[in-house]
Amino acid sequence: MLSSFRVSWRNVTRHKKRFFFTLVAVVLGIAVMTSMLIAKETFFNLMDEQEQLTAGNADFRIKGNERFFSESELDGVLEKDELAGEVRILTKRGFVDMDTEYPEQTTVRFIGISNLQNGLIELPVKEGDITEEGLIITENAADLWNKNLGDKVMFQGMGSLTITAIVNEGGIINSPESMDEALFRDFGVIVPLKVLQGWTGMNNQISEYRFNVKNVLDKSQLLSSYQLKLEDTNLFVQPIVLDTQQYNDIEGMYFVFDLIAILSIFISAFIAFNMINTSIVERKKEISIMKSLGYTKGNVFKLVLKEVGFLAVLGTLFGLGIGIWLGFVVQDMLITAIVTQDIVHHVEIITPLITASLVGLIFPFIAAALPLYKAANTPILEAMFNKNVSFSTLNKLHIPRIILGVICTGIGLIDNVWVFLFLFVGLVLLFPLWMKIVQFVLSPILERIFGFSGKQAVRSIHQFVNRNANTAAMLAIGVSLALFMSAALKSLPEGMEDDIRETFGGDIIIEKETPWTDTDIQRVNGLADISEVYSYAEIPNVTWHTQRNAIREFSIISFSDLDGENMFNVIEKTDKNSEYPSIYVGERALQEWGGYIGDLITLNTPAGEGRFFVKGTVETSHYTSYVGFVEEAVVRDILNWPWNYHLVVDVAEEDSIPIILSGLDNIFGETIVYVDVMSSTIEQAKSGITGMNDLMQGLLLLVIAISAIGISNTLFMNTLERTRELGTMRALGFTKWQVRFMIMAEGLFIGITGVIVGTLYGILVVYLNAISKQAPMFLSFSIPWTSLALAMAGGIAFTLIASWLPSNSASRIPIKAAINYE
Amino acid sequence: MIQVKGLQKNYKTATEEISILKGVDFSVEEGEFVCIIGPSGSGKTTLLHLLAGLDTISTGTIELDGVDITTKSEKERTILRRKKIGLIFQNYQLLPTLTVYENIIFPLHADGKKVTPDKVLQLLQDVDLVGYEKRFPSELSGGQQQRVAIARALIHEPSILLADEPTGNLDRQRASDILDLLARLHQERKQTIVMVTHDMFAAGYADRIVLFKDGVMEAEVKREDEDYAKFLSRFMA
Amino acid sequence: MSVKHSLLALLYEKPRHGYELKTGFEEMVQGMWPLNAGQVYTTLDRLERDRLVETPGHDKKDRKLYTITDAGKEELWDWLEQPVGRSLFKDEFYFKFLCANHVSYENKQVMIRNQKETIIKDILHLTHLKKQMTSSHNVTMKMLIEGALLHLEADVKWLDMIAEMNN
Repeated sequence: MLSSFRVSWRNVTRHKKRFFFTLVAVVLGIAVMTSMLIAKETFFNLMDEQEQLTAGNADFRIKGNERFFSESELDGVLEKDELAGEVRILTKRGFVDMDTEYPEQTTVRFIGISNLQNGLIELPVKEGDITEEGLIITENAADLWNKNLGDKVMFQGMGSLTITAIVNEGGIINSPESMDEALFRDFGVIVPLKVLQGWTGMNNQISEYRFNVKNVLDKSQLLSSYQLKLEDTNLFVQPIVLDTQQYNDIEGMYFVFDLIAILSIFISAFIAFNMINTSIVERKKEISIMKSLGYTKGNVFKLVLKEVGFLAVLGTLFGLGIGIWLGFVVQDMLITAIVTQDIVHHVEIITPLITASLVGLIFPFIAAALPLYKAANTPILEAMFNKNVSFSTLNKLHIPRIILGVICTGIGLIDNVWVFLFLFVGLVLLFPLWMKIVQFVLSPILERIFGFSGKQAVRSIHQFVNRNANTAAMLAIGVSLALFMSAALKSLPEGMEDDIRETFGGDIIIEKETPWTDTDIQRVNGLADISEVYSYAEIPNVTWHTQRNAIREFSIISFSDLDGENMFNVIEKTDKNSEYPSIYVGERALQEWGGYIGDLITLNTPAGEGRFFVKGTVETSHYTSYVGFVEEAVVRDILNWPWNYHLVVDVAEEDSIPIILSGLDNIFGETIVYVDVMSSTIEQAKSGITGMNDLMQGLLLLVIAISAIGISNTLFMNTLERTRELGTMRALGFTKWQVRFMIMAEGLFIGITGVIVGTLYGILVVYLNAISKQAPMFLSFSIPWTSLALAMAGGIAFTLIASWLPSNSASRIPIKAAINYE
Repeated sequence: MIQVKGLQKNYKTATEEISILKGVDFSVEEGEFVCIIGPSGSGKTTLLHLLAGLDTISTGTIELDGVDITTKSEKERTILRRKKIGLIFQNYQLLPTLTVYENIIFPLHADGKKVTPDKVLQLLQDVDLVGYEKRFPSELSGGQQQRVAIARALIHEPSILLADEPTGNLDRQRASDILDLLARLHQERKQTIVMVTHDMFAAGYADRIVLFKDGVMEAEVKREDEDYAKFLSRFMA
Repeated sequence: MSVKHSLLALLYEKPRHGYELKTGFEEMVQGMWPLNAGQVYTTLDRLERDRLVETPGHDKKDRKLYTITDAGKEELWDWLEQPVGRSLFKDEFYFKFLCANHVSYENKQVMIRNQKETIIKDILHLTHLKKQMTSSHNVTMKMLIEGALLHLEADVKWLDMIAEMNN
């Protein structure tokens, strides 16, 4: 029996080089997509897990508007019979007993926990038993302190405790990775609550109370009843919320991942389309013979589908393999760049693999749709007897194609995160037009450089204009994406630094366990080189619901005077007023919430549930704009938050910051909760982005490499179809080098057109992003000249490399075989 | 067997409409070997293609075994072709990626039928190609390729064999081999054969010769007719 | 044409009497060249005179039996080896055509057409014969017919050529 699989395989591999290059392109496309999906999914899960660990399993937390409160204040608030579990937490700062010149390295953040048995607090245990009474430290601390399970650790002025468990980084406690980092970060340790209360002399004092309730249907009703009970006390209740957005602004990164995944698949699909299309056009005669022998449209469909199936299955198989590997690499780079800590994570493979294999198996078929249609509708007689039928429907569709291209471009100009992809669809559709324009300029130059070979090259570009246009369009997309990304990555750190400088508030922020009194502020002012000092309030864990009814939380920061405010910039505000107190919402929070300026937002605050008027939206470096700002008076009177625990210090001379820091440490010592210095915040932000930069550049290189493969493939097809022609040229006296020049010139033409158009579109995309209100990455419009030069040089270099192989094989066409070629 | 009535076929070009067949009445008896001759552009090949259902007509009817194929859809015509018609072309039209064997069994494959190895072997013997099964068309001479094409046209035991200049690309010796083969198979299998040709020697094999000129059937002559040779001498070569 | 040598060839095969030679000859040429008995016997007489055949006796039905002599064999070999040239005017139509031109004959086209018709008749006849030959596996005869057909094809081409020229 005629094994149609074997026949399909023969058909697919008839032109081995072409099949190989197409397969490589498909494999790379799927690999890049897979790795992006893996990175995204893993990162997403990682963030989730970390938050889950930090939040634990409790339903609610009770805190006070002062740092600590007495356990007895809780009496009568909770009914014993509805309580399923509870945990009391006290957070204090202290120092470990360690030999070092720098006392800053010894700072420890203690978390006293009453109960680790009931699972309300989760810890990623590495070794030991957390339910045993004793000291729990992280693996970084164990390394830096050189301690093991069972060792004793001594804390200055407190006492010593035996280590009963060591946990991984990433839970509610974290420690610095190195002694250098320890200079500005605390070691986190967990000790039994009673021990900490005893050491610090804070008997019955706690900073937080978390609890679980028995199965209650309506938790929001429960919340209201607690809020009612706590009214007019200095305690408040909040549901415990998983919301990482305060600490991470990674949607932008996800967006870039998606973008790269989509574009790599898009480019692969086009290369596959080019190959399948060419193979159909080449075989129109064979297909018509089959039809004359009794093949129906359905039979032809099946035949071609089988061939595409080979491409899809092989591509997906290899693509997934390489993609998993690439995913691990990308993931590692990401963790190092963003998380900065060596936290334990497991790479999420299953879902990305399923998605990637689905996409991988399907997209070649989508790419094959048009050729398939052509194949099935091959006219028998015309194709069989070589009556000169114009096969390429695209040729005929010139005007509709351009109209469609203009429409897509128009849609692409709409300000939306994803709609701008239409711009690229438009780019592809309009490409033959761009090609004509570029050709007008380029032809004389090519002819001058390559002489007669150049002239011939320009002619043959014309011969396969659609295929060449598609190929150049892919390169253009790669180049414009590269340009856009480098513009983004270049302007991102600058924008970030500007953002932080503008909205940090001063040079140093200090949080203290006790409120900042006037005397405290005077003492700070007494230090040398201080230019300004002011305190502010920050209310943590304010919860609210999005329009889609998901629960979220952020912090509310106080401000005293809107005009002189230097912790945020108002982007937009309404002139309207309301009987409700006003709040300025950070733009990320506003977007997450889903409402508009002028709406009312309901917040669960230390004063219970309340409605606020969204007066405007702001941008700030604090919590990357996932935050709210409220006037100080409102904080005091309405939000039930009487004290300021935060202090901003503005210095006259940046050089004196270290001296001021040690001065502050002398005065306030162990009551300091944390110190934030603007310059180190900037540095940290930048270093994260630099890590991302390397990663993105690597990925973009891959995308451009895929486009380059497309060029090789196209040139192979162009030369194959002209074997006879090339042989005749050789017979008539063209030298091998002239043939080679001709093919290189063709490649160069495709490359240069791609680079030029890509550059123009790249600049357009950068510009659109700069004026966009929706874009997740906030960048200013600037043409990245270095990247531009690099992209141009790179694109042309890639093109030359990509043209080398086809030109080589074209120049080696034996004259005789070519003339007899049929 | 074949009944053609009032057949017209027009082609549209960019500027004008060309009439290739201008009302043809033509019929073929079962088992008859008919040769269609005529100058190029006379419409003889078009008629053959229409008989095979490869193209659609403008007006008229074509009945094969009493079934009017002109009212059938493309798919129905394809299925009819699979069952009833064997096609032989001037330039063989073998599928280059299939072996000799695979080319021969292709019509069965298209019809989803099982292959009887004995039958294939018998055909291979008939066309004298035993031992060539695994070769590809590019490895064969023109005469051998045409023999493969003939085997392919016969594998599904069609009742009608349509041949379009089967010897047009061959030299005299190979052409005469192919015609001998066709004649022998015709004697043995008694298919109806309609052959379009330029070749007087090929016409010598037919039972009846039909002359086409300017899109109409101008004359016909039977082998036993007195002026058979006169007819040929006037219109051939 | 050599009836003489074909008889020698038949006798070389086996001894035969006169009538056998006549039927043998006709079988060899597939009945396309009828030979009358008188022609056979005069030829045999001449062969006997030249000592190329001899008559050793009679068969049971008292018919004279002929055999080939050594000289006869030699003659047969010589004849077979001898190449055959082709004279320009052996073809009678060539000669007719020449003469027709000489006398400025008006109806040359008719003459050509009639000749072509005859040749096509021959072609059809030979084709038909070959068709039968294909099933009877007479390879030698088939080859002869092929040869004749090639000649006839050339003749037709030539006739078309001169018809064109004399138009």
